[in-house]
Amino acid sequence: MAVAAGLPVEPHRHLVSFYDSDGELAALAGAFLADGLRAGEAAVVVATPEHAAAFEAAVAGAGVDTAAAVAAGRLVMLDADETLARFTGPDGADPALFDAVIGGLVRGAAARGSAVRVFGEMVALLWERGDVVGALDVEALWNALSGHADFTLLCAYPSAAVAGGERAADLEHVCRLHSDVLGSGSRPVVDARLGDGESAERAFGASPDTLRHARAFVASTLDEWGLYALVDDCQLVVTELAVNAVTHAGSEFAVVLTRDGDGVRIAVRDGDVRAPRLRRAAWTAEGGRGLSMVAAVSSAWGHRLLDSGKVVWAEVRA
Amino acid sequence: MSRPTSRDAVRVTREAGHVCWVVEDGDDYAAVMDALFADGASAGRKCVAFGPGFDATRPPAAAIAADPAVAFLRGGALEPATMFAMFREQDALARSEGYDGLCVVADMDWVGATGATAGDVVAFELLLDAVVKELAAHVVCAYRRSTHADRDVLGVLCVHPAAFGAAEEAPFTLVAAEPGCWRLSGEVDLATASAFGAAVGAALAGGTAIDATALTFIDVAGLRALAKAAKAAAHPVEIRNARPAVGRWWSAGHFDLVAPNVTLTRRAS
Repeated sequence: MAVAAGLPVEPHRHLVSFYDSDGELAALAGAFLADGLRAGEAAVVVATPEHAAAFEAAVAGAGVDTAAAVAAGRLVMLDADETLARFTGPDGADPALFDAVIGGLVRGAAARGSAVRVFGEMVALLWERGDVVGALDVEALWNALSGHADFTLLCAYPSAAVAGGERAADLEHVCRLHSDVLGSGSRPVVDARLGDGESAERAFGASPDTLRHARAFVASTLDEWGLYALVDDCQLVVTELAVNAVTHAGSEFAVVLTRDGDGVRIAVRDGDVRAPRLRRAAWTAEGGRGLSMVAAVSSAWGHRLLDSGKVVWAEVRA
Repeated sequence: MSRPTSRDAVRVTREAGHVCWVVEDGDDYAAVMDALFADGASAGRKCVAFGPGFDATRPPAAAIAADPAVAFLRGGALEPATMFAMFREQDALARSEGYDGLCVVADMDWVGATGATAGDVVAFELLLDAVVKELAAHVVCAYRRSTHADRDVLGVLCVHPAAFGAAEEAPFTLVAAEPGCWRLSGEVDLATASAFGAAVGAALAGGTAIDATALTFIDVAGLRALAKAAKAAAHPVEIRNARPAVGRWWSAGHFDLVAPNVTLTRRAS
């Protein structure tokens, strides 16, 4: 079946993560859901029974009264396969049924909380069963729904299922259907306050000689914002992200700094459309370790694919 | 940008001892060299001119002249130990002749004949810094932009305590502190990682400590070069007074596992 090409929504509203273990997934989803519930939002979980149980434990472990949230209709836990069946016919996902079923869930949750966030892994189940087209269709349907419903969505795929060169084009397609791809080990970053944070941006040439100028820009901006205590890690982040832009992308790059409370988001935008890879370099091996250092010093990081390049971002907090 | 004057050259050399002179086309090499020798002679130093073909032609203001590639290295590779033994002999000879040490001005174009790479030259200059300090000599190393690529000029700038004639400042410097200890200042990143690797490799081959008090930044490329050099040195290496962030990055990047012989220390102030 043909689905209108769903374009991704605003930054940090449709996230995807590729997880290595169920434990990693539970921590990620748990944080995502707990953050929302603590802030008075409603949360909808569409997951396997095993995962749902793990998420509920993680959320409870974060100090949220899950029983009360469920009773108040602010935490809705649904079985992924059952939900999938409700809008899937012999020809695949039906857009009208998706809007009725999934849209209905989201709209119902919106009535219970200040905002809605959703965790979904129907797409992962489809992918694991070999129905990549089906997975992409459902991703696009989520994007279409976001045109007339207000929610943040976190999807998660097991990295083993999407690994392998033969899936590279499909994987890129998945990434392009999301606003952000969370980096390995990243906290989920939801950006409900678009444009509220103070922001500064500057462009730099495609040469290693500009790295120190990018650092100087970061240092002076942090100083203006009273966040100079973060300067060391922020200078490392901007250097490593810029190194990737200059060496792998061979491109000019722009550094965008956004203040977020007591932290800062550092984003480097370049002209290379290929996604960054976190190299799982053996610790004794030489080779690119820049992104793993970014992951180590940041509280959250990820990337966003653009039409003519990409943005890699990382958040640094005290 | 106006070119440096002879007075700049003399002042910087008096202050720092081991100086990098970046020579642009159109600079009056002879005039600056003569000014340096005039100042050296007035301070009782023996004036020594090195340069390509200087065996045949000696600048008048110099007491002795030589092409090191011919005179000391006999057409072979750039052997630092050979060159340093020569410096010590020349210093001893000069002092026995009643001089107060050496004043050397070297047109480094002579190095080309040895087949030395940019990394070899950086390593040589780094180790030379310790010898210059040991002998309390004045040594001005002149690098011509017409001979050396910009990145190579940047590399040698980083291993001299002072310079004149360069439009750019060295982003980092690694120079001799006390015997066995080298002082690292400034910022190290991908732009200078190759020169840094050559310099710190030479430093740790003999020395055991890097004073990082004035190191304001080092990126993954720099940390990797440092770990590689320390691992190759295979003896205990001390990094003194690095910022706490550097210590965190060293372990977060698992460089402590690559080079477990490295200890980060903080001196109580």
